[in-house]
Amino acid sequence: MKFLKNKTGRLLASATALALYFSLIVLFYGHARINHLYGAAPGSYVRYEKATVTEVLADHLTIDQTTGFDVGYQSVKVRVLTGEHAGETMTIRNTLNYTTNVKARAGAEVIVCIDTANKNAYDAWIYSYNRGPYLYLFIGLFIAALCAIGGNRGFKSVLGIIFTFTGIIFLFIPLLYQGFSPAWASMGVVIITLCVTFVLLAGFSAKTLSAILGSTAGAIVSMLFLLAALALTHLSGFSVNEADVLIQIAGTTHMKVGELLFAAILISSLGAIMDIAISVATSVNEVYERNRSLGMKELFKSGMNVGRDMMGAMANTLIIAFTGASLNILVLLYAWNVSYYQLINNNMIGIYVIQAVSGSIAVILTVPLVSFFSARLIPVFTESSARADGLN
Amino acid sequence: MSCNVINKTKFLLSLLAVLLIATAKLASAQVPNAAYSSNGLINITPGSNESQLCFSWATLAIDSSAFPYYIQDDTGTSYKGVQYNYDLPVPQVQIIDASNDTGTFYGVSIESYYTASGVTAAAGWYQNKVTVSGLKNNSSYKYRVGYTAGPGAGWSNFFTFQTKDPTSFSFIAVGDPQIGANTSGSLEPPAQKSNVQAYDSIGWINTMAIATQKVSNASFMLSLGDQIDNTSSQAGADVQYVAYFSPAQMQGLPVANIDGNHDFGLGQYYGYHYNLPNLSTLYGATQFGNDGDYWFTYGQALFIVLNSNNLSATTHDVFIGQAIAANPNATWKIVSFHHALYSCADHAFDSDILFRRSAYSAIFDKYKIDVVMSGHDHFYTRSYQMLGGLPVSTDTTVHTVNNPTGTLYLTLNSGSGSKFYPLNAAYGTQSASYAASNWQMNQPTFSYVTVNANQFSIVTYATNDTTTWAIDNYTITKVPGTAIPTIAINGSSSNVTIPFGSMLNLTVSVTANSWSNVNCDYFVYADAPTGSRYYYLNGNWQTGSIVPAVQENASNVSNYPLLSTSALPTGVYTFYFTMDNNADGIIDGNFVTASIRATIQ
Repeated sequence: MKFLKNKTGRLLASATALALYFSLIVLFYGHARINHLYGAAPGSYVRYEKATVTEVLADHLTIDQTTGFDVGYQSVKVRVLTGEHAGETMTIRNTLNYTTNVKARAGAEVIVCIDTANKNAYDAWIYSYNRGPYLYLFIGLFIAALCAIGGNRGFKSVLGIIFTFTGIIFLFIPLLYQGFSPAWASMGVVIITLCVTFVLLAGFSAKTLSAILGSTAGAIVSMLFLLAALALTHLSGFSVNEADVLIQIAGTTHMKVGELLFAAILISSLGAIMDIAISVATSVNEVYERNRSLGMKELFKSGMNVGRDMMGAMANTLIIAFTGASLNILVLLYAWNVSYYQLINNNMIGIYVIQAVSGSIAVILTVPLVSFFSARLIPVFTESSARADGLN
Repeated sequence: MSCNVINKTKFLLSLLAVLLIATAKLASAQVPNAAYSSNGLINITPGSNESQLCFSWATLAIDSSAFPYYIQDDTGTSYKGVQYNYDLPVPQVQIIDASNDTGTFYGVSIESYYTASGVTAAAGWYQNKVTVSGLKNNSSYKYRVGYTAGPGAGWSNFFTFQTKDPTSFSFIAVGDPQIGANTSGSLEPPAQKSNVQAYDSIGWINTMAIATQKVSNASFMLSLGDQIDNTSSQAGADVQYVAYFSPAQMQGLPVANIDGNHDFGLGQYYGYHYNLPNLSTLYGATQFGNDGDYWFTYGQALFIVLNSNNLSATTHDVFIGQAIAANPNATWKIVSFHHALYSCADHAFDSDILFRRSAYSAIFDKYKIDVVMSGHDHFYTRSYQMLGGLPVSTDTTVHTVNNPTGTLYLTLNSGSGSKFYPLNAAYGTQSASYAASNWQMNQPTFSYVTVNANQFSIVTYATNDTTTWAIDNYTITKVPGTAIPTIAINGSSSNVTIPFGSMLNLTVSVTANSWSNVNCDYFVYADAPTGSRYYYLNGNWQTGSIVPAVQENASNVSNYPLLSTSALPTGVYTFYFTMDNNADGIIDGNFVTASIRATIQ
């Protein structure tokens, strides 16, 4: 670890890690095949393009009694802005019903679906509002706020988030396509993300190392619990709604559909684990900085004290997050007055419960683990760096 | 020589003679080709019309180098670019008219050649396609398939089929046989768990036996896609195709098959099993080329079969237009494809299904398709009459409609019982906004459809090992020549929104057609936002029991004004104009209705 003590060493280590990361992406993403579940003859395709509504020619709409939606159809003129038909104005019928409901107004920016059978036969219909710019605006606001208020650390957090996302999209999912075990691939993603995020946030230091080790250990314990829970309740990747399509993809890409659920649950609890790990490690570090005379036992106790307050809040965070995500199901279950045995044994209920509990257990167990590692490592590293600097 | 020796010699000589003659006879007899031992995947598809049939069967390749092939597309352009050797023996179907035992040989259309991947050409298979025409209605035929000459010479066994009456006919419809799909294992007895395909075969053979007994006069069968399950290997799929064709009825009943997502998983391999009428290589076809849309007619019904694995709606739009243009007098337009638009189970919210729900339904509205039949969701759903993506009426008690607007969408359950889906959890105890009738009791089902000039009727049956019971029925009646009533608000017959305080002018029109001078009931009534129904009589609108606005001989009427007001309170009003040709004061007999909705806001 000596080379990590000076700036050059750290830069080299980071550069090597990044190089390794990118080469892994190139290795696996380059071979990733996008499985075509649908086909098309040459010259026949479906594209989505930006367009502006130039005029609403006719309006045949009424208000639907049940939903309050406008339903019926409009006759509109749109000018396509992107793609092969850019610049072209088309007169199209815009249907409004429960499935698709975009009420066109002159000047509105929409996305049109242009469906081409051949050069002379194509049709367009309004697919959705153009939401992209707004989404980017919101993301921009988020990043701006994080940097403005978080300063340097905020900016580094953004880098961490970007890293996590690119990892999942360009490395993790291609690995799944190529038949690697989702369980191990997700464990790998979890550990890599932990390392990178913590290093970005807290630099190369003892607290970073403690947080990494502690949260990895917590993730491993969560993994064991999860394996047992899914086996006992006979839940797996085949228990979700999209299973049928996934099975077909698996047929041609060797993807292990059954383990996908495990991977999903493990990754979803990652955020909370990271949060509590760095908090405990930083607190122990702070405490030690203020009072170098504290021994392992006292540091461990401090870590636990901090952790105890936090774990309740963190477990709540997880459970509230999943409640929000499952709001629709809860509303429906309340409305249907489902029988108890049917309710408790519903696939999605089982998955949500296991998701919330395993995430919470990981959080809870991370506290003593990180406390232990921090209590052990922080004094050692501070001592050795102090000795190296000639202080005693 | 003694008598004994002479007798013995005579005996031996005559024995020898018998043996020689017998051998000669055997040598000259038609010896069945060993390739047909598993029925050689012999199957029939309905021909372009009721006097044609399309045969397909598979034979082992004898010598690949001697059997190159040559395929042309619609425009006469050849691809694959290999010469067709006309010296080769030609596949034939021998049809014998059972009534007079005269045999006719039908010759070649195009044959295709393929091999299982990884297998050498010498061990590959041929698909043989022969199209037979000139068949008479209501006749019994027997047939066999084979080669008359060459290294592969030989014939299959004889099979029989019967042609029926196209003016009033019936057919069987099944969803997803999907042989090999029973992977859950929860429904099958433990002894059969290890042999999934065997179990699905048993179910399929059983359904076919019961369905053909129930629909004893079936002209053909319609299978709504996913005939087999395996998407990863041709060898695996082979076993399932053999099982799919194994019921004894399959060589005697024409079956219109469809490319489901599972069939599509092996690309071109699907198309090598069927000889399809009017198959397009341009529209509905995917990159595999041999899986395009096809159509056929039977009597006055036009059946258009799409490959919904080609997601694009426009390509099917063009094909449907061509098919209808080729058959302008078809009374019934029935479209079938695999991925159901309006279903309620596992696939109800898939993104590709939602895409098709929007894009394909617009096409069916455009061409005024009567019925759409699909599978994919392994759950029986009958929709309301749908138009513009919305139900025309949400009355679940209606099982008979006359001259309806909109299109009926049917999703059929698994015909073999290999896989069943439950109602999508999102619906709970309710149902989708578009579903008039749902059913899932985890039993195989088949539908009995009868069609004549005026009526389309479908009864769906569930079946176990021994019995069947009806689970749903629906009838569409089209009485040509009935009067056509129309109703309009402010000159438009589409639903309107009117600002509060603006004028609402309600007018009605009649085209009398064959009801001219027939004494008819005319009813005009409106449902108000209050929930009350008002009947029009002599310029007034009254609640209470139904009363005709007028009873008189039907005649053409143009824009007759009934209501002119700007004083209606806000809310949604539905106005109806109904006529029937039995002037007795109630809606009965042949009745026709026009309706229009006005939102005042």
